[in-house]
Amino acid sequence: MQLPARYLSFIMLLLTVIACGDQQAPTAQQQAERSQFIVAANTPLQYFAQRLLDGEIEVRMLAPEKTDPAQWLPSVGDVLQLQQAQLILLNGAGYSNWLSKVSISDSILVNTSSTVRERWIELEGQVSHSHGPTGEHAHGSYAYTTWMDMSLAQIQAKAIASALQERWPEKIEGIDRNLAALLADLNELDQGFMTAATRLRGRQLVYSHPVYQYFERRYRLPGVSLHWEPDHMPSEEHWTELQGLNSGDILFIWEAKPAAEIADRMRKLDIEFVVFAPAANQREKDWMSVQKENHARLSSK
Amino acid sequence: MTDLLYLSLQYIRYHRAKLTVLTLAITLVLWLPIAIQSIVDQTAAQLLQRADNTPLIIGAPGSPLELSLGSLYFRSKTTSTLPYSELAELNNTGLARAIPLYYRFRSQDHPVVGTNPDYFEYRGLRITAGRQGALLGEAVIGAAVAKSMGIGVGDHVITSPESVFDLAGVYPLKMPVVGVLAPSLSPDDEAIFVDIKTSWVIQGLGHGHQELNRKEAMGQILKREGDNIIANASVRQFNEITADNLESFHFHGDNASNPISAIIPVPPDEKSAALLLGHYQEERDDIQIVRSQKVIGELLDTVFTVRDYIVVGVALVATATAIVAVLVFYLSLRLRKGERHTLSRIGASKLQVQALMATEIITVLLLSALLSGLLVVITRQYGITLIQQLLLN
Repeated sequence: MQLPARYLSFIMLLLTVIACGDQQAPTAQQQAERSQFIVAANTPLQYFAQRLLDGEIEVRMLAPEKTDPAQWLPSVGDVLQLQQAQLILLNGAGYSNWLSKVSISDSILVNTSSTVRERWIELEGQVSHSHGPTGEHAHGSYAYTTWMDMSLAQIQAKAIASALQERWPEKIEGIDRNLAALLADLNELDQGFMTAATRLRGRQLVYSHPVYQYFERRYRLPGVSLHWEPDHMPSEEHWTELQGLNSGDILFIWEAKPAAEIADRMRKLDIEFVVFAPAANQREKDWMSVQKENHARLSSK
Repeated sequence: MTDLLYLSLQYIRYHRAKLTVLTLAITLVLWLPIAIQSIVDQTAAQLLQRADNTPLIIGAPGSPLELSLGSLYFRSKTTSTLPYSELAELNNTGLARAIPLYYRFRSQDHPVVGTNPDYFEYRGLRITAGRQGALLGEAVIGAAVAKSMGIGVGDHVITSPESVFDLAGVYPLKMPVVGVLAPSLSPDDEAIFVDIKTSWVIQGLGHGHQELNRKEAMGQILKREGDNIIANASVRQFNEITADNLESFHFHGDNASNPISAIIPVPPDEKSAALLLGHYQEERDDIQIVRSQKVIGELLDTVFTVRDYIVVGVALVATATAIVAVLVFYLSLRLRKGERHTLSRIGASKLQVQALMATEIITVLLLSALLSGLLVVITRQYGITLIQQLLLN
């Protein structure tokens, strides 16, 4: 019974091959001809890669200025550029939601937090839905600002170093050297945040957005997360909600400097606030400087 | 001598129809066996070339031939699949770059091949119109698809349902054509390429629909149970992915468990290839790695057996034709008995008469040899290309 099936396969195959023939082009050469650049999903990863490579290879971030890279959806032009990258550094924890909507080769993707999946924070209260035969499903389920925990940031930096060394073995020594310096800086920040956090324990912390989960867990600073925009005056309902939380020792943590009218009203209400920027899309200053400023502001409270 | 030549030419001219038929018959029987052998050899070489260019293929356990035919020629409809997580696992070994293939679906007669941009680079495929696929739902078509369907950039292709009786199945997906590949004279010309995730949308593992959290969707909500919204069947699912609804497309569960037909591993060197073979052959019994040259080579052994049978058949026909030709020449000589007698009586020598009689046979054999030789050269040079063009058109 096997022989007729083989003949049938052959006849189909013969027609295909006769109709087509074959051509093959070199691939390694094409890869070598690609322009040398890598793409980072956000500023922290871009900063880590730049420090590790010491400017030898361009590290791009394609999300436009003043947008949240986590919510960014690349254009066709962006995707074609991403396809040409040597590596794409991803944050992991569902950060780059756009990834499921574009055509990118897995071989150039580096998930910098995949080795610590068990430390990703699962979000509660996600809306799931059911319709048709596919059953219940939810969209998005992890907090993604992993780098706000400096111990995780160090792991992400190591993952980037490892991927860069694999891609450019000739740079192993330089990357190792730069990694040691970067880890030392991140460790110093970690210790600094720890110290600052000890002084804040017991205070009622209110976060302007639910993007501080990893910071709250690492530095044991749990708080209430709102959805306030620094440049948009909250409604009276929101102010009432905030005052309802007011224990008299509140510290409001903003992602960015609040508008003057919002700051004034907070002062009138005797609500202390501080800016602590995750700096996911930071252009004016380097990410480390922003974190040091975060530390300085937090330490002053 | 001039007289002899004159008489021979006059004979040939007078009997040109008979001699032409005889010449063509002998030409064909001389040319056919060589032509068959030549075309089969060239086809085998092309088959092996595709296999040589893709020496290793990884797939679910099953028929190695099915896996090779599917992965090299998109000719298999096997439903055996691997989880997509195997791709990451292979990449993580550092022994090879992994290219996924999912060729389960079709649009009319053309396979819809889910893969990623590495495949185009690996095969050296060039875009001749439009651009590379970038977003979910976009299609890049092979040259033969563009020609046979009469479509190009800006047109659409629609996936074919797997079964006409599957009324509750997944809706066909309408996909915009964003690029057309230059002819590669390979099975890639016949394929429609999409991103691997688009294949999963075709399968219904991912979809886009209107937001159920919004007020407009209130009429489609059956009930809310905690954080779960249960919608009724009127929820409109999109059957085309556009810029407006792209954001609403999502996948259920982890993509790592979604299916693929095969993985093409691209090891950087021979050592890595050997280690990879060892890794899968020794350590994994839930996955097979096949050496496509070996599988296609075994298939070709069968092909050569078939060719040998055909050649033997043609040889028998040739023998029969030769016997008939001898008979024709014999009868012709008998018919020319009177002609020989006349020539002798007007003074022709015996040698001259014999030479005149032999002219017919020598002319036919010489012409046949020349024609068949010419045809063999043409077959070897252009035969396979001519057949390809014929089939492509």
